[in-house]
Amino acid sequence: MTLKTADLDLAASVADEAPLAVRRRRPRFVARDTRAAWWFIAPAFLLLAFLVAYPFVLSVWFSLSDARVGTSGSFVGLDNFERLFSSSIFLQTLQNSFVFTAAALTAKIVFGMALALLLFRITRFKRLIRGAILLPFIVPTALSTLVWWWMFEPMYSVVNWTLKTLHVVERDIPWLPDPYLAMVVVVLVNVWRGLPFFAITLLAGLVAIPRELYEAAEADGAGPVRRFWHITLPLVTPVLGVVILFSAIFTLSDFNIVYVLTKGGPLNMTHLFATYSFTLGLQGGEIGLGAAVSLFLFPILLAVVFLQLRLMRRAAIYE
Amino acid sequence: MVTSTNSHPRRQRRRQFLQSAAGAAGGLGTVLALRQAPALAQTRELTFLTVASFVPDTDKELKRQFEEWGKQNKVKVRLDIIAHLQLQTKKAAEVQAKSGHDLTALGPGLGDAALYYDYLVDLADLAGDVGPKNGGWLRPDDYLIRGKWTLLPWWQPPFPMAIRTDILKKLDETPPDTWEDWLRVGKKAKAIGHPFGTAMGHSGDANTTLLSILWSYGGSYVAKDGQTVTINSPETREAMEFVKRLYTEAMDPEVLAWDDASNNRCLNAGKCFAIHNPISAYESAKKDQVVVPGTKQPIAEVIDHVNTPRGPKGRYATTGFWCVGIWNFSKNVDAAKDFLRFHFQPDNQARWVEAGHGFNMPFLNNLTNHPVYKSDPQYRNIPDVAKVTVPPSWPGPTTAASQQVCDLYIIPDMFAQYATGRMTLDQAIAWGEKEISAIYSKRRG
Repeated sequence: MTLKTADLDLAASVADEAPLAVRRRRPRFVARDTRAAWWFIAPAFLLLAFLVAYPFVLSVWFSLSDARVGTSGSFVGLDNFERLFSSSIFLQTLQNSFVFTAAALTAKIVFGMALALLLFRITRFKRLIRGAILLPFIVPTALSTLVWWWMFEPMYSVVNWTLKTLHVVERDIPWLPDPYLAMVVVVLVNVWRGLPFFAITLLAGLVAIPRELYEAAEADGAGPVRRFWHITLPLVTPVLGVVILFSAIFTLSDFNIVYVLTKGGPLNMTHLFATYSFTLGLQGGEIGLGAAVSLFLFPILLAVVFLQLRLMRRAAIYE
Repeated sequence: MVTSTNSHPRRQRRRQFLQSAAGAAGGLGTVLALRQAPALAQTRELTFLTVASFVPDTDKELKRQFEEWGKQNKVKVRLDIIAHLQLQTKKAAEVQAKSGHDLTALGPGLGDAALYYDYLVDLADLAGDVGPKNGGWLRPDDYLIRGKWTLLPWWQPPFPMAIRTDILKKLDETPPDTWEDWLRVGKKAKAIGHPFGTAMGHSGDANTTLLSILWSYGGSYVAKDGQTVTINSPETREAMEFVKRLYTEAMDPEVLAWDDASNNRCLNAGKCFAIHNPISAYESAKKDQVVVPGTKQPIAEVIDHVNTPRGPKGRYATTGFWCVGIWNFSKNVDAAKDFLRFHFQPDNQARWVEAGHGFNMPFLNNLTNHPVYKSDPQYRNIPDVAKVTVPPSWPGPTTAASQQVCDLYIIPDMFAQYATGRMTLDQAIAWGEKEISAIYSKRRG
């Protein structure tokens, strides 16, 4: 059994290998097909153009302009970005965003994998449990975060009440008033919400691994840890890559959780790009500056996407 | 027997369908191009976007007046009431689209008038009519934005001090009058488990109370010229030293995460000894028949409201300045002005204030003497508080920059950085000065 990496871009290789004669014999047919294909693609293309490309180009323009609410503004180059770098609130936001994303992603990878392995082994009430696991992902975030807020609310935190009743602590823990604990809480809620996505997707990856590989490894005397490191992890890596990619994007651009729980406070210690952009752009009417904050995500996400996609193209297979 | 004379039924149906569809598309295209509904669908409608009041009867009375005016003038009316936190995005979206309601609530604060200056109708004629009929505006110079009446100041919830009289009796004290005295009594109250409560985080109440303290100690963040940043002063230092003592000696750290309703909950739950807040906590305690924990005593009976505290340099307060304006992209400007004229008639204002139990005090002299403020001893100090209430930008004019200082909670954060020990006094003031200067240097007007 050997481990190899393979280029998964099968479409390109198939096209390259097509016999020349076949290509020559089908020009009209292909042309008709191509025309039809364009018609089929057109709605999706138009949708992407209007809903993705247009807002993106507009936000790039806004970030390079002094646009205010109701005006398109005039070109100011990188002035907005310069202003942001001289703002300590933005620098704090930058730091918060990285801490928040790194902590939440790490927790989601570790616990998501553990939960997927657990779900994989559960046989009784399998469907019910798998469905229940998805609940945090299904419930509207604003609604579920309100419940979390109630649980950590400064005065009547049910968490504090429980801890005090069980004599674990004597005084209330300032979950949301303390800048560091507030960050812990927003990360916790993000992990709670994102964990089902990790667990269910990784479970799909686990199910797809051929059982023979484990049987062969067991016959060779491999224990559970070695089987995990040498079979499960390498084969689930492409799925994990996709999940991390999506989660990184969603986590870095999170808004609801912070807005409902802390509004960026205390002392701006939980502001993320989205909440700070909202404060500047919509509350303060400085659309240009707000767009610059949200666009700050773009190069970071581009780098993440590029790296992830490169890693994902190198899939592990066993022969 | 039914026979068909149609020899090509399918083709006919298809043709009919295509003709109808083309007709409908053409009609829709014309409507969109003209941006006007066809004559049949043209019913005159006046729309008004406002925020839900903490005293819901206020909204009911407003709706009643709006409908009455609509009936008198044969105009269809629509009042949309949303949560106040949603108003910012709603206004921004309407201005961006240059479409939406005719009348809109603006605020909290006068900053919207500067922010949306180019999109609001000049209401100078209306302000000129309304003021004299109601004994004049309270502080007319404060409401002019770049010299224009781009809005009408509508209502304010003045910020007295709400206090538990039973706790005060237990402490053998009389209601304090100065901030220092509040600290002294607050320390004693905290020692028996009843801290003083004022928000110090990202909330409107935090801006209000901390600005009131800053001014009472002689400080300010911008000068009268609206350009010179004045936060770095000995008076600010004195105010910050006071707040640090108030925070560490008389309050609980939870105030850093309070929202605008937290202090109400703290008072009505029997925990807080006093809060700096409008009368909404008392009103909800009365309405919900809340009792003092462990007793059958209604908590509203042991709540009193006294004047906003005085500092070494005077007595000042601010609040949410809720205003009303008319978008200049409205097609019903005259009707909207007519409704405002109707709503600001003295008898309508009086009914509306009565419905709000005085929580919604207009910025009009005669209304500060409304009988409602004499109907309950709780309200006796409200008119006095209103008289010392200034806009959040005071002594500077209201500008987009002053609004942004509030939106970004620079003042509460500056106070909290020092009070919590995260920064030294010099560092916290330098931080506040840098942030405020950056906002003012980029946002003139």
